[in-house]
Amino acid sequence: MISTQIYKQSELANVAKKVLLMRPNIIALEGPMGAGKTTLTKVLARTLGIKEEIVSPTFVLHRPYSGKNGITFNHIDCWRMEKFGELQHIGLQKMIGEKSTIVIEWADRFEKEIKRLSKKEIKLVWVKIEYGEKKNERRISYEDIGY
Amino acid sequence: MKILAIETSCDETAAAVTEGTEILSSVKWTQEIHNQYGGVVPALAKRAHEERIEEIINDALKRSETSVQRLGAVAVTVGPGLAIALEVGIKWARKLAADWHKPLIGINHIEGHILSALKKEVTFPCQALVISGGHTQVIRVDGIGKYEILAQSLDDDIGEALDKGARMLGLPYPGGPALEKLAAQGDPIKYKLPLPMAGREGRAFSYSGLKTAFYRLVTQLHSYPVAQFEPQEISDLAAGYQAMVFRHLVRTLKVNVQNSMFNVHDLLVGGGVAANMKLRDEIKKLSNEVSLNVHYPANLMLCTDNAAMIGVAAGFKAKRGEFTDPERIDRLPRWRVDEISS
Repeated sequence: MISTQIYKQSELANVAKKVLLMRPNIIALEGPMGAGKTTLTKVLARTLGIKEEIVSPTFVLHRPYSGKNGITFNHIDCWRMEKFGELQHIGLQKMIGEKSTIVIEWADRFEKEIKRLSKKEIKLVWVKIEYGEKKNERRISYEDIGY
Repeated sequence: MKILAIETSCDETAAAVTEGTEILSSVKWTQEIHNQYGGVVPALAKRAHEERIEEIINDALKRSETSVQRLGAVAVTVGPGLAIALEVGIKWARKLAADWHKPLIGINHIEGHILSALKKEVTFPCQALVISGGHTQVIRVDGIGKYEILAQSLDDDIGEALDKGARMLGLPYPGGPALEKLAAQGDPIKYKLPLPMAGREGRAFSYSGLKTAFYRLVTQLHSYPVAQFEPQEISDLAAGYQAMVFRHLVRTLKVNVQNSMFNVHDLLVGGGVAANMKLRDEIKKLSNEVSLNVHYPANLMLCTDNAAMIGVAAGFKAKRGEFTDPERIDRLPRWRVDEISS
């Protein structure tokens, strides 16, 4: 597991790059309200070349985006979900099959089930964001979840 | 023309029968009728529109005292919304239209919210404000079917911001109404919170920074659980947060009205957050300041998602002969209101 501390929002770009260098299919985000899960998702999408504005998927549960060269970026929010079945219901398996990049916010709600998705050909990176002591400080840790 | 309208864009399963702007019946699956259908349904079943849509449609028809023969069309929300939810309504609308040999009308959910506040005395161009858990938009309305989005959210939508703030205070879902109630007892300036995009208002709303600041404030006062809060403290926090959420909204709205160069005299407000009375007060103050006539849907039930607004919007389309090809109707989960071709 790699842990890092950031003090400015602009430092997220570096974190996003490092996470993406692990070539994840699924990026699971965990962290309290307002910690910056959607903000990190915005940076991840931008790094992948998605031009569209990433907005909160809390209400619609899932928002797909497309970039150049057929890149698809799926942004999912488990905040309003109560069962893992709901995550499957919005087409998670299909998204995995399509080899798109999938970001799942509030992934800790279904930690066991999501971690079970990790397979040889499906790489899962778990990112945890925590508040630091100072106003803009965040502790971010990320790890490649083996299968 | 009488229209059967179906709306399943998100959580609510709804059906209505309308004639022009008149609502003959409007039924939706809400807390209120849970008992009638047998208890509160869990969230997963709540989203399974399939299970209850037929019952809701039949109920809407029955309450309107309209026979199927007298219907002129079937209307349905095709977007924006949750893809798998939209599909259910569309499938049913297409089936019923075919079975009954009626034309089909696909409607944009946002247009439904806009037109549900439309009154005879409104002059175009006007502006619309659609505010809910999934939408925060200021829209220029040049006429029915002619829209331009002037401002929308960069991150969280307003209803979502209210719900999440309420959650931080330990209030039950939906948090917006609970927050409103508490805020009424609180002092909105007891705690200091940042005003989003202060001085940069115009094209965008942003609530994520305020949400973060509120979380920090709440957790600094007490570590969780929230049970340690004094009632007055919670009320003051609720009042302060809600005030800032609304101030950002109203300031952005004001800039857009001013940018219209006083060409706009009417404002249509729709969406679940439009049911908040404190917000209505704030919008009233603004309307006096910039001389604007503000219009809301006829009742609070028509603010939150409903099918009557879809029927009303479809009534305008039908009048203009705008029907949808049943072979080509499809869900449009991200259909922007300014992409409506008319």
